[in-house]
Amino acid sequence: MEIPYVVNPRKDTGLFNSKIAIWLFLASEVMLFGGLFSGYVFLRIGADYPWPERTLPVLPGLINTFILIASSVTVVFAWASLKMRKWRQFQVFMGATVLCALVFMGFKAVEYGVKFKHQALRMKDFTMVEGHINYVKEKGGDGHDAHGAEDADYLRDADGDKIEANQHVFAVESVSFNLARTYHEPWVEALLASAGEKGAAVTLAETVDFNAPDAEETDGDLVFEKGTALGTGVLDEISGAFAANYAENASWRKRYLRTAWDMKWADVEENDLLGEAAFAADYPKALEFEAEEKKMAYVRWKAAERAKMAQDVGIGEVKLSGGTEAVTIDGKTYAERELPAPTAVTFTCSEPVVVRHPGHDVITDYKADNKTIQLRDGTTLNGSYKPSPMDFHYVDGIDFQHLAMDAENKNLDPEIAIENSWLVKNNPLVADLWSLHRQAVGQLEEILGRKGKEPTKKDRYRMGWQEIAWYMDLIHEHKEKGGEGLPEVVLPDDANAPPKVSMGLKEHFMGPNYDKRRFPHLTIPRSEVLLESKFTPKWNSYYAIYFTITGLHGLHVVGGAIVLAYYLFCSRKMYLANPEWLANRVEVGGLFWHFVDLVWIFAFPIFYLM
Amino acid sequence: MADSPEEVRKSLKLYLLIGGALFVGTVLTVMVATVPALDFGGHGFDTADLVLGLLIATTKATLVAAIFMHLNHEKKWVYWLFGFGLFFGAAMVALIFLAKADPIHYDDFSTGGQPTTSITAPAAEFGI
Repeated sequence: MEIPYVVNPRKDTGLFNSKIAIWLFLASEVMLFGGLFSGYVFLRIGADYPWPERTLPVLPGLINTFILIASSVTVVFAWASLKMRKWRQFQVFMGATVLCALVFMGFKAVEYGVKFKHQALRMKDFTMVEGHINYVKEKGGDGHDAHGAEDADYLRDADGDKIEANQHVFAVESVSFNLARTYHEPWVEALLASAGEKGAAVTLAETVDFNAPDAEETDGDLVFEKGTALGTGVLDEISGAFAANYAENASWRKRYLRTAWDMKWADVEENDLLGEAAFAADYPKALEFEAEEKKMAYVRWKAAERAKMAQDVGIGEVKLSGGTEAVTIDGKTYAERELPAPTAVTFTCSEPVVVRHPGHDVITDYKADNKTIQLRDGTTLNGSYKPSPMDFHYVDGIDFQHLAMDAENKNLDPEIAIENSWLVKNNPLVADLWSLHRQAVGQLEEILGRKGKEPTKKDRYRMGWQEIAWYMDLIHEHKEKGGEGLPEVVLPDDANAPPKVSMGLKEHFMGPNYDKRRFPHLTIPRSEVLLESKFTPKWNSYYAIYFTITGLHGLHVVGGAIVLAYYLFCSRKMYLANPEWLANRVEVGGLFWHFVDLVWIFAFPIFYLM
Repeated sequence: MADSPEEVRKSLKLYLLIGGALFVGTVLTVMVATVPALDFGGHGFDTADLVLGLLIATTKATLVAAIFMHLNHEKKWVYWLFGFGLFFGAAMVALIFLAKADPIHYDDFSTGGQPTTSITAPAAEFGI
């Protein structure tokens, strides 16, 4: 079949068809991204926390902008080459465009990767801490130093995996599985591995019998004896038995209730029809009596059927009257017929078995003396907590902006609130850093004040990695020289921000160089922690909308690149047969590509610079 | 329309020029956000920076749409279609102002259901 108007324009529109199509699509895209950007604005003006402004590293975003602009130029040149019938030139420019798309996605991957590895923490007083969670070391120091300490070895779990520092460590005495939920297999395996390593047995606490109490045949399939060893196979069988019994009970209950309901209305219907029949008897000519006879016969048959059903489900003789009265159900009748379906089974450990779970696996609030914790899959662990502090390594951000905002909302002095925050009060190093930062901000205030300006809240209350590294260096130098107390911070006369170390090229992309820079390591009691997260959508609505818009934009880049690569590699035949058709195709693909560039033109300043 | 090979050849220079302008625009955007001497308005990010940044972005977007996407000389159908999308896209952004005019108050149950905070208030304090 020949497709019309791929080369020549249609008379009514003046355009070839695919151009109309792409503009329709782009119109829908404008609305899609318009909605998302409006979502961004809404989240930002409605945020109940200090919006992280100018928080992303600018250089990768800037380079990506250059790349997209360059690719917009090359794609239009590729189209022009086709128009001028220069195949080689088309290949070069289209190749460059696809290459740009790949490089763009490469940078994007690096940017995302850094965020997925970077840990954030919100404390109960709204102090934010940013840093890294490393692995626990067995010996050779406190596990805080990633270099040196050659004899250090990582602590490993029963599977031989390195153990993350930041975990709930719990000694399990017994574990209850919620049969109404699907248990998470890796956790059971981890528990078993840990028990195996210790030589502890995990066995069923009580015999569980899924057979009906009066069932004649007990083939043993549905009975799980006390002392059965825990295993995923056994758990699957128990869950299966539970599910079967649960389904059987549900269907039985449904049947019972339906019959009861039917009987009520059978009664009503019968009365109505008898009334009608009486009416028909009085006025035989007004109604077809024969038809009424049949109707009555049907009603009687139906009533008999219902009676049988009622007997079958054990309702027996039920006196139900018509009208709007509720149907009364005798719960005891059907409860007697239900199969046993306990919703939980408990296994006990012959001796406490230690398991580790990251914070997001545990849904109960942390308290050191908790005897029971619940996991996300509904499993309950009984036992006791082992020490489980949060060890934060290479702390590269301490942010009091939210705390300050909270204090201001309560009409408190933010500075005093920060002085009284858990971190400043309990960690001498953070107290020192904060004291240096206050010195710096004091000077900055004076310097900017001369120009009639003042430091931003971010300047005042946030110590980013460049500031922290600068203060740490200062303290280090001061100590090297044998100085006592805290060093003096002196800002240059033209300072515009708190003092910062300057970034190396790699640091622009990958974040601070942790081998070279000095950063504090903090241990924070888990009871002070409100939320922990990587820099993912979970952390706050800024990252949620950032990943939504840039992620969707990234998908557009990938999709566009695939189409353009198709033109590049699979269209030689078309070029030879009908070059104008190919030129039109490339024009349409190019229009999409320009749109992708257009979205980025807004996304870049909005996310990186504002 | 720049459709004949001759006209296409003539517009190549323009495409390069626009590409250059986009580069310059990008550098400018970054400079007004990072170079202290070009920090308009108060210190740090504020309304002046917001307006300036969006102004540059809109200019760049207009160049891309007009020249690269040939919107400077298109058939009226394209204008209708794109205009349609633009209108509803803008309408969706405008919905924000409705939300601003009628802000959501969330009730703090600890105060017995009395509204405590307008959700627009804290962000406003931080200079947005």
